[in-house]
Amino acid sequence: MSLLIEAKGISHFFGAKQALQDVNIELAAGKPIALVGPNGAGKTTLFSMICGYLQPSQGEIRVLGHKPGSAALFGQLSALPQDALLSPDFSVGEQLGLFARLQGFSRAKARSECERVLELVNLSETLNNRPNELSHGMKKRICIAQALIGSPKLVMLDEATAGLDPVNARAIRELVSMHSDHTTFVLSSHDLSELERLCDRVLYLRQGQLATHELNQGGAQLRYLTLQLREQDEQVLAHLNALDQVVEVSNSQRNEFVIGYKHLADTEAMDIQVLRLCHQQGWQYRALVNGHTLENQLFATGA
Amino acid sequence: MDPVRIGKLMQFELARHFLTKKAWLALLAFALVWLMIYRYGVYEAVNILAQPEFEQFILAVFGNLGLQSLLHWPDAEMAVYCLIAMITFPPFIIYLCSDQFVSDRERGTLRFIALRATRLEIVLGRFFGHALSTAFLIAISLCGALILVALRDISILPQALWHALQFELLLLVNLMPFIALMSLLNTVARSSRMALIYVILLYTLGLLILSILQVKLGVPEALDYLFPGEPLDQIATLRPPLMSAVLWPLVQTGLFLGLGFYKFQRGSL
Repeated sequence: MSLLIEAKGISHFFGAKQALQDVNIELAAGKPIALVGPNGAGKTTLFSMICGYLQPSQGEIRVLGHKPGSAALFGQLSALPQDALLSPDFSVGEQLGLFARLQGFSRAKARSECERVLELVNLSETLNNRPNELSHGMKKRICIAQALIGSPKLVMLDEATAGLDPVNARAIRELVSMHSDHTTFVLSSHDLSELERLCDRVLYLRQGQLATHELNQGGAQLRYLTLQLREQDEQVLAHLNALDQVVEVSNSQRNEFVIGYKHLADTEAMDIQVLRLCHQQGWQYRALVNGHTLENQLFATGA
Repeated sequence: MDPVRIGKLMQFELARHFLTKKAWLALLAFALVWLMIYRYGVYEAVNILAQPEFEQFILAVFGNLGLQSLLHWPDAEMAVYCLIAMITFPPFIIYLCSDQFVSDRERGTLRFIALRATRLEIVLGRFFGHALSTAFLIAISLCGALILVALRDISILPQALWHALQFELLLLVNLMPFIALMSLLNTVARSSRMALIYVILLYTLGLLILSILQVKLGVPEALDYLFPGEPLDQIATLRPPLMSAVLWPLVQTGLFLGLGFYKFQRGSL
């Protein structure tokens, strides 16, 4: 079986500036994949190459075994490109209908498919509206809807929830989660907590170079918990260090502690011990994360 | 390349030109302009066609291309229509076709389409959509001339219809290089306005430089045919040279489309 995305030594230059440097990727189908990195790291460039919008200066990229942009990928690969908008000349239904018909749907089936995907993003009532009659968030959700036409194997979403209100952002996350069994999503976002909830694999781009992470599957001897408190207490480090099995505790950022411990059989679970300690000391905790947060994995540990 | 997808893209372009609110307004403006042309141009001109001064005027404006033979057509309205159409349609079509995909590309709309159609299909779908729209517009404008002919003398309507059909095809073939040129310019411009500026520069500076080269260096005058529209004044007689007024515009269309596709294929979306 061919890989979902395979990139060999791809580099790209915008004039003298190198946007991507010898990037190699091998991704198989599965749970959603996060594409993260600071501004200017090359995320959108990589995204554009996978979708076939941009050709690499060097190297080769294959999606589902085909060259990006080839007809074999129509209906298999779909995307929400960053900042892309529908035409203001036609209604949402007309444009989504065209996309569906280009994917091979008959006129009647294209209409029902448009209604289905708009229902998924709770925008059924916009079928006859022109995009310029809708809010920014609604336009974004409609662009997400077009990415779900048919049964794509790979969906690329660039900043899918940026600019959406919390309720709709949550609805989009649920949508991604719901479709993850049969579609592999690649999500580019700056919202690490969102990616953490959805993704098992992370592509981390920094200055055009790529590092791949499997979230919380380090296979190290130590296990980790991340404790986030509402308020900082000077005694927290000392109390946590005093717990059995704890090997190291670091104050990763304000009100956040990363606890490294050795798991021993026949002993009380470490998360129970930490929660009991919070209760005894009267600490208000905000979250207890099993493992490192994505943010700490990428940045605090030096990625 | 899938002809079915090209057909769907072409249909969508036709809908853009004839079924949107913006299109209806544009069509209304087009119809009103032609109404004015018929009322104050064709209708009045028919009355003076027979005057010898008018034949001298045609000779002075167009040279000895045989256009004066038009003045002896029994369907005089068609003759006047042909003269006006071959002058007014090229700039109108350049304007109409100035945005074949440039605004869609800048807005990002083309990225949605490029996931469902190849770039060649997009270029051809848009081109054929514009070409078919042009054919419809020529036909609409021709209807006015035919109505005027029928109102004056219904017996010459069959001849006028035959002239109309020939002129429709000849004008369309000669307008296709303009459409293809605008498709090419859409690949280099960042807006339809810039595409229009490029075509104006091409026709002013380009022709100026060529004429200087022809005068100073003796460059062949046949190079005028590099510019779309050169054979246009030969088609009004409906007996143009096949090579220069029919085959060459088709070749030119293919060349412009080929160049445009090459640029479009290599560029980013």
